[in-house]
Amino acid sequence: MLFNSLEFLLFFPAVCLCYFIIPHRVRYLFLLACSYFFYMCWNPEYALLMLTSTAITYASGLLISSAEKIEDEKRRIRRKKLYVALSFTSNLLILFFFKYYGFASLTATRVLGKLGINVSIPAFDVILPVGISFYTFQALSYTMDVYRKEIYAEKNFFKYALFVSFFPQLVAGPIERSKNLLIQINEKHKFEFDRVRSGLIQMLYGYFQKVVLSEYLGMVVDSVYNTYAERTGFQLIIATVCFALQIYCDFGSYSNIAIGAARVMGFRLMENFNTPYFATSVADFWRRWHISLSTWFRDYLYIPLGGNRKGKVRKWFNLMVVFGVSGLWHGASWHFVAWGVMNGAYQVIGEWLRPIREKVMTVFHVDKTAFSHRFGQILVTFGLVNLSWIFFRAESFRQGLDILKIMLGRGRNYWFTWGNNLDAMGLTMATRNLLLVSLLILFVVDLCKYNGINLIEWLTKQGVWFRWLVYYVAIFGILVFGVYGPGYDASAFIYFQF
Amino acid sequence: MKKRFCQIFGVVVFLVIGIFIFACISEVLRAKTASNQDTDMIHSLYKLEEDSIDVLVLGSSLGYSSIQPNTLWHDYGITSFCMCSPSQAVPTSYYLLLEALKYQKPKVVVLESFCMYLGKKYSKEARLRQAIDGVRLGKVKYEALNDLKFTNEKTGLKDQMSYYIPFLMYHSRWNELTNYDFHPTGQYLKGSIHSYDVAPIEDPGLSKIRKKIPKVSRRYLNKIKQTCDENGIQLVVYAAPFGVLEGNVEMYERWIGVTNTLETYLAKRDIPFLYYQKIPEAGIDFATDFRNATHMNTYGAVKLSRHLGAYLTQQFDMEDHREDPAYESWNKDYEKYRSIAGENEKSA
Repeated sequence: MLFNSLEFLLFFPAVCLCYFIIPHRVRYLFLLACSYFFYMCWNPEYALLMLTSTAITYASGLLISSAEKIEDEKRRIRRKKLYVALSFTSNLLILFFFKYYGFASLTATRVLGKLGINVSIPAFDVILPVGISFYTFQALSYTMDVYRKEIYAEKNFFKYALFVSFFPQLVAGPIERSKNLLIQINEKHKFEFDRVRSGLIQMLYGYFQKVVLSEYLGMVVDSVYNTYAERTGFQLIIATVCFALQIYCDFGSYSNIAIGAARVMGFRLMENFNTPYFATSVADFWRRWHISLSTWFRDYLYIPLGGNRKGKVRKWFNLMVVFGVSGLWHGASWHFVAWGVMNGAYQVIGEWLRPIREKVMTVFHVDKTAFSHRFGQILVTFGLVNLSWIFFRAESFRQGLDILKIMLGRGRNYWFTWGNNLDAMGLTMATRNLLLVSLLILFVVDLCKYNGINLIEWLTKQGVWFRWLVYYVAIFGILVFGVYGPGYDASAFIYFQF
Repeated sequence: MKKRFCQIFGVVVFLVIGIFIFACISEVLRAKTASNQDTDMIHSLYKLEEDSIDVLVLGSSLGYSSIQPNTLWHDYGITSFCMCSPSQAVPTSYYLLLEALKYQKPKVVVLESFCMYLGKKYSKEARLRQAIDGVRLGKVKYEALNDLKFTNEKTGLKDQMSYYIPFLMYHSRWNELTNYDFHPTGQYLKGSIHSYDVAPIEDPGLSKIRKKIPKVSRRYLNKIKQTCDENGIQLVVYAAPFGVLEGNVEMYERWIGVTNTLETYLAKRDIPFLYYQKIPEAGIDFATDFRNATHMNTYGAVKLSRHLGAYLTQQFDMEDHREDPAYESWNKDYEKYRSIAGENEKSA
């Protein structure tokens, strides 16, 4: 059940209505049933996998909690670590089997083949369970949080199961933390008009990002990337920039709909995107992009690896590991790893070159607070991030390299050719104009957010005629200009495959 | 409490205005069932004054190509409407009849018989949509869609909903809208079309070949007859003349064969049948009265309508409304029709 499907548009209001009507003490059971129903609309069997992860991490929480009673410190820590290890190993094994087995066996076969060893590794044709990377990470964060005593071990299995399966953020995040979401399950949520309205506005903006922006940007990206070999460098650059915006709108839309939907019911989910393309460095970009995943890696991988506490070289190594793993998390393929490694390398190189940059700035008397300087940083960061998106969007590492070569004008003498017409970019005059207006809206909204203006709050303070005008324009703009309906195979959100 | 009441009231008003805007936008975006200069076909039914028509025509494109309601009005004072659509199968005609009867009480239903040969409930999805999309939400639409499509074919929720809310299907027309979408002006044609192209075709002659009428067509023809009887309506079936399409004699023989069988079938049931290929006095000329191999042009439609009007007047004592001030708009519509027809005739 996709957020942009008719089913969800019927499911969500029905769930909300019942949620506020039924007694508080059974609401979590109701939401749990709804969440499993939501998940089982994709593949009923795979709900068992989620249940397994839930059971393992639930048990790990209780066991870690019981281990706290052991008086001998060494034994206590050893026992706790054992439970954490068991929880992580079993969950990651499930994730590995369903997501990485094919990739790992193929890579092993190739490597061994090059060494002259021919082996036949059995293949399993399994469909990737929707959202497995998301709920596995969410569940693992609970094990770790209980271990670190940042949260109590939940005794009620059903409440814990709801934390893992909460439908708004189940399949594509934000990857919540137990210390934020689990405790909210016990809260008594009333129907508060203002909160419900702001949740709905956020959902509306998410739908705009998905069915208008992401879809039309996707038309440009698909038309160019699907025929990249015949394209000019300039066309590929335009398409890559469009992809950067597409993936932001696509993933940002899912987060906005998820956060908005949860807010309607009274839940506060963490922010997942904070104007990422206004970042002034790659590190800054990662503090603004997919925040729930970045902080997950920070808290549960980077810091345990030693973070920046063990010297510069170790820090750089840790960064590369984290971003390599992050790439792999996004997909079982080398081009995702390349994307992750590039993002890690940007930061390592950036830090390595920092003294030189500082020197240059001192010599040239660069005012770091000037708009021009920050704008330059934003442009450079955007350029670097785009460069890495090439490998993310490409279907293989080699394809990414080929695209990069064309972009750099290798073997071409018509680098700057735009193309014959808009058709070549998958657009018409009307859709191009629509896209430009939509991008302007996206830019204004992000600019306001960047400057600390809460547009939803601002809007709700305006006169009724203005508010309603905005609501109607937004609703009907999405309904008319959106890409959906029969004949349109509701494209899954890009992040579903991760 | 007062605040809560204001909020609920606000939401209700917001929804009501929203539904109104939605209806307006849907009207603009819906696929118009004909091109710019033509009528708006089935959608125009709702623009007619209730209980204002004497004759309801059902059937395929041969129906709206062969009957000219403005001529029936001008020559006989008969008010008529062509509730026809391309490749309209008989089961579809049945449901359109039920829908029309919610608003009109015609004295005669005229069924154009070309699509009798279709052995299915609708020819293809686009044709079903042309006929049904415009039908208002209600029991008839629900039953029609269930019977014609949903019970026979696996149709997803999204596709099903797109029949009930055609906006889901047609919202993407936003970048192809023309002035006509905002101002559909074809209602004056009462479901017929203007067509002054002349494509001379060979008179295919009368064939005695007979083909079986598909069961589904017979079943729904009987349902149409039963509905007409229950409502005190006279059913008349007619076969507009047609030629051989793209030299496909086999196809022509199938059509004419079914029509021949239908003639006998209807005679046995005492249903009047006007087989225009056998009525030379209608004066239809294959050399001048067709716009293509199977469809008559307006010259032919005027001739056929004159004959049909005379027949209906003689047989069923049709009332002449021409002097009735309540029907003044029909005179204006005729003038409008004539002004465009005259221009086309001059330039021809």
